[in-house]
Amino acid sequence: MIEISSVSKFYGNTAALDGLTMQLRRGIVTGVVGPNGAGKSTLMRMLAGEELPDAGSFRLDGSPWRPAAQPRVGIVHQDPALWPNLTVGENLLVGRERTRLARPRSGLREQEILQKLAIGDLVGRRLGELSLAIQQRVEIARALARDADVFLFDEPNSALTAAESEYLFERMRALAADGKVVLLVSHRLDEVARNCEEIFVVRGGKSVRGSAHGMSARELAEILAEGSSSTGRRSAPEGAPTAGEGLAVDGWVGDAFAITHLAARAGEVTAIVGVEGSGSRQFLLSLAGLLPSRGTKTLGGWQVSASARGKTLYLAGDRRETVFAHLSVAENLVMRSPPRSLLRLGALVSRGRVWQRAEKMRRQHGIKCRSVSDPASTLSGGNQQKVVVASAIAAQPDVLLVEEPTRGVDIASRREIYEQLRGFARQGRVVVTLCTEEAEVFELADRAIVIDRGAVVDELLPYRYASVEELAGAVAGAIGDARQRQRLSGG
Amino acid sequence: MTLLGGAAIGVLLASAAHAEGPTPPTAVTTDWGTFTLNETIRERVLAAQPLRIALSMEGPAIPVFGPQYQYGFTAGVEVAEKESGVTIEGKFLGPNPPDINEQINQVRSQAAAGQLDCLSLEGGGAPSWVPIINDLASRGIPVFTVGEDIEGSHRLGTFHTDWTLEGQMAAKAVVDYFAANGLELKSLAVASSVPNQPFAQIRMNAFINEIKALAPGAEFANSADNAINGTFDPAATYAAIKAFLTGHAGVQVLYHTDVNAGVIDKIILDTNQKGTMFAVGHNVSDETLDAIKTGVQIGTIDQNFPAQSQWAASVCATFLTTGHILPNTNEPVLVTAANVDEALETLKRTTGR
Amino acid sequence: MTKDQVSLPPPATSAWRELSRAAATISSRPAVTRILALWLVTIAVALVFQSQNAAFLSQGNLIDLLRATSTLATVALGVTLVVVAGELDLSVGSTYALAPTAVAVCWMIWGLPLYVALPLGLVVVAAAGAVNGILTVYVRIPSFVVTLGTFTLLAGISLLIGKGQYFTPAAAVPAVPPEEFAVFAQLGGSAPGGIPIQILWLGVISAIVFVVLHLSLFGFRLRAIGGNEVAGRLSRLPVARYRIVVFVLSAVLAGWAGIIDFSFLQATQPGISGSGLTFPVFAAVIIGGASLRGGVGTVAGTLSGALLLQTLANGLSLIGAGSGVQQVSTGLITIIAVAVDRWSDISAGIRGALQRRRREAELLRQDDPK
Repeated sequence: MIEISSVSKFYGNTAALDGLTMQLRRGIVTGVVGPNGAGKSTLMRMLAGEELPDAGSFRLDGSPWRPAAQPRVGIVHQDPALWPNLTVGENLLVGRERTRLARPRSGLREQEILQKLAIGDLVGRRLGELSLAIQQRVEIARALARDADVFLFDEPNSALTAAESEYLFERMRALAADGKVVLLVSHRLDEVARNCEEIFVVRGGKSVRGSAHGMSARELAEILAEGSSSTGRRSAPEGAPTAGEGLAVDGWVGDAFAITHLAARAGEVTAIVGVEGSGSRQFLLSLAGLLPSRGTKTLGGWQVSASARGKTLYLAGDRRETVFAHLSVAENLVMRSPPRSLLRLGALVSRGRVWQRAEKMRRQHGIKCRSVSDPASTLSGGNQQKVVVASAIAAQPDVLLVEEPTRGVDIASRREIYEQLRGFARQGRVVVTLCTEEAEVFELADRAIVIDRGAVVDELLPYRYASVEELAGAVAGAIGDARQRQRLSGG
Repeated sequence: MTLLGGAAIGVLLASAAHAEGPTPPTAVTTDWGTFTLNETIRERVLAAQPLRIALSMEGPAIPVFGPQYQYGFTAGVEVAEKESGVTIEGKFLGPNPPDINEQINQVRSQAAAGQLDCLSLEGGGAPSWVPIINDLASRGIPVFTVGEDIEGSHRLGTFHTDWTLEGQMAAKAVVDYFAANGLELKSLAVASSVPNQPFAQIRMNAFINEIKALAPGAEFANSADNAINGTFDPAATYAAIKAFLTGHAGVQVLYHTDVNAGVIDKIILDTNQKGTMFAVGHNVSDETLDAIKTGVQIGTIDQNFPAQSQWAASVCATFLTTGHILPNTNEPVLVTAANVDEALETLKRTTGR
Repeated sequence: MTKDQVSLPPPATSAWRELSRAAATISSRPAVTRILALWLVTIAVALVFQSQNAAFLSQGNLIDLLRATSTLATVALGVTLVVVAGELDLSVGSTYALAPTAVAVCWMIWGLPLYVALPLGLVVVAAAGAVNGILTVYVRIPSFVVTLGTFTLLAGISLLIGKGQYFTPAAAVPAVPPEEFAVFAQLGGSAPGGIPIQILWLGVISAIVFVVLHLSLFGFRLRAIGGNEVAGRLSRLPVARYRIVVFVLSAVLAGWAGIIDFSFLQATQPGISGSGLTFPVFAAVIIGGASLRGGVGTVAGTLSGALLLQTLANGLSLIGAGSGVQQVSTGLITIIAVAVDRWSDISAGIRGALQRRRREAELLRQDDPK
């Protein structure tokens, strides 16, 4: 087995891993779950040999082990890192050609491995033409061909069908039965609960609970949410908004989702809850008009075109896509607002007016920086996010769509951002957020709509729950029930 | 011939200036308005300070073109100094490789640094020069164009050959040659490296019209509108012309508007058509002159680059010291078997060999 | 929900759909189908020209055609290697001019023997290629930018070392030794039977490049590096070394083509030769099926692309079409070829839209309250 003892990794002042301890036994599938930014990817990269720990050690089968030293670890990614322009057979050979001058050829060994994975007859096909599921099997094959001992599956089945996922889990169990170390990292709690004999929950760079064997998805969700900051039970929003205003979609279909009906009311913050691969992110993008979709969209009672961007503003989850790092805080703040009031003579940007407006926004939103003329890159993550949200609010859109509003943001800033968003919604706007963590839903949303496998599964009111754990349990339960129904009906 | 002619006028005027002392002009009326000589420059002339005369050309490293211009300019500076009695600081400017923006930058920086008393410009006729020239003129710096005029610009004078005349000369040379050798002129074609350029169009049309006037029975396999386009690349020119000839049998004379007539010579030899097919073109080079000697090429029209760059020096010196603008006496020279040896000598001399 | 879970009615066939499927097959199958299609188009074009002027398919013209193709094809094969590695080399036009200029200077001006001057010329351009590679790999400037710069730089160098002369070995002063001149002339001359030796050189070079690209370990790894550089690096492939090598190879092939043309034309014009090569070379490579994204490219494809383009150029010159028509046709053919290449993407986009339409209709019919 692999023993991970007190491993830590720091990036600047932040600890990505903080004394993580774990055991990965041979012969079983070990699951690792945890919220975003908890350190799961850092752990994977370390096991793959791409990063070195700052503290702590690894042992493999009792002896000290430096993962970087041996290529015996195979990773299966969400997005396979393969060669779409080469054939399946050739993909297996890259990096282990063993010829001097001539082109390498597939041998018996490669053929056997492909047969075991039931893709033997695809050996001559170009990888780029094959489905994602097949490509993942090729990744497994490559690792097997390298005599890999350790298999890491990183969110492997987010884009697979139910049948393909099942097959993948079978493969994992077979590898484990062969005596390999198999690790599954996933957001999908019910799958982890079903397939893993041992589960670790990683939060804040530490492994919080070991050997959560035999737990249900619901229990897992509650553990995950355990201890997250919360202010206790929330109160219902004052002045319930009138139904009929706000944003609604009917018969809304895209490549990754098909939603019969969904409504986000004006004056409320509506949270879409869904893990990676549930189609929720694509759904949000389609509401913004950034992904193609068909169906009926109504805003404030009036029907609008499906692709209309209109008065909709979308903020991506990755701050690299929302912050203009090379510009100043002031420029970032005013970037999304209509420029007319900032211009002199209708065409020249008035620096004075920009500064004034930016100063006003800084005070209003409590942004901590020395001066609004500082480059935006000097701000902390939380303050950068406040800048982004403030600039979006200043644009006064009718519909504000925000993806993971407090990802990678410290606790104090989180509260303030929630206030920003709620305050904006209360002006009678529609605010829709995409949340992958229940703590965020609990603190921020007036209404939570759970999406799984491209469809709406349930609608919850977060303020009716006493704690984050309860809410998390309810969400997990709803997903589990829906999947159960699907399985029983032969979906 | 032209060199002597231009020099003669220069001598007359300049010696006049020499006798009395320089008399730079104040203002000159031209067809585009009034040009007022810059005060500082005027004072420099009166104070007998060295005159900074620049010649800017497209590319000093372009084979034959560059070296001949250099040669002519250096000679021109010497002559002008003797005649007008002033010292001249001659500057020979040009980008390598040829690049019009680079050429413009060079001129601009000379002018901005106050290093320019007079400019002669060989700019390939590009309209981009118009604002530059006009700007210099408004500042009182005299500008002349050589080689090709720049339409619409405020230049004071120009020196270049007449393209129509050149086309006619080439046509006459062909007709004379065929008559002298007892051949009947029946079929001709035209080609160019840049068929859409004005100089190519005018030369081709002049050639075609003159042939039709002098030899009514002759026919053209193509016209100036669909002239064979070789581009400047000799390999591409070879392929294009050879293919055309394959498709149009019986062509006896191929007129090429610029330097790649040498490629036609090779085609004639490769297809064993020496004596039945002939080339006629422009500009001189070793292989062109060689082909004329051996009867593969009827002749070539030399626009006399050294005369152009010599004029570039003389016109500036004369204008600054007397206010007179030398006329355009750039006569093209027809080189045929009769005077090919002389032409070869001139070529060697003017390219520093 | 993925598309596998929703069943669609089988699509109705129609002429448009068949055509679309044919185009998609061409663009998604390996080179074979594509090359066949190219040959069909080439033959069709040839027949059109033949109908306009019966001299097109004459032996003389076909030989001329193949000879002219060999220059284009040699340079294009070098560029194919670079494109397969995922890079671009826009400097080939200047490399094509620099090699013969260097040979001419060494041989005719410095008086070195031909068997020294020839390799020296190739060494000079190999160094230029290495510069391209080093700037791309170690200084991390995109190859597009680097080779655009070296295109001008090398042209300038040609002019500088040429010192403003045309080089014609036949009229050299001092004259070159006659035995050497004979060898020189033979490089690009004719073999018995009137076959230009240039065509034989093309055969040899095509065979070599074929072995390198399709049969060797180098070619295999090159395709991996071009197809997914990051994955290649993680698999410990010698990415940096390979990328520099392809730039050197491209420069040497372009230089060789220039030297052979120098021999054929018996003249070289520094600074002018090769300036118009860049576009036809890239057009030939792309039409031949190489992908600008890297990892894909074949010798047969590039040769077919070069042949098609040269057939077009030759035919248009033969029938006396003006330069305007020539440029329009070359541009059109290139765009059509690239569109066919991207057809699978375009049609996938259209199919996606149609699918969404169907699923929307289904969803509304389901009448599910949730």
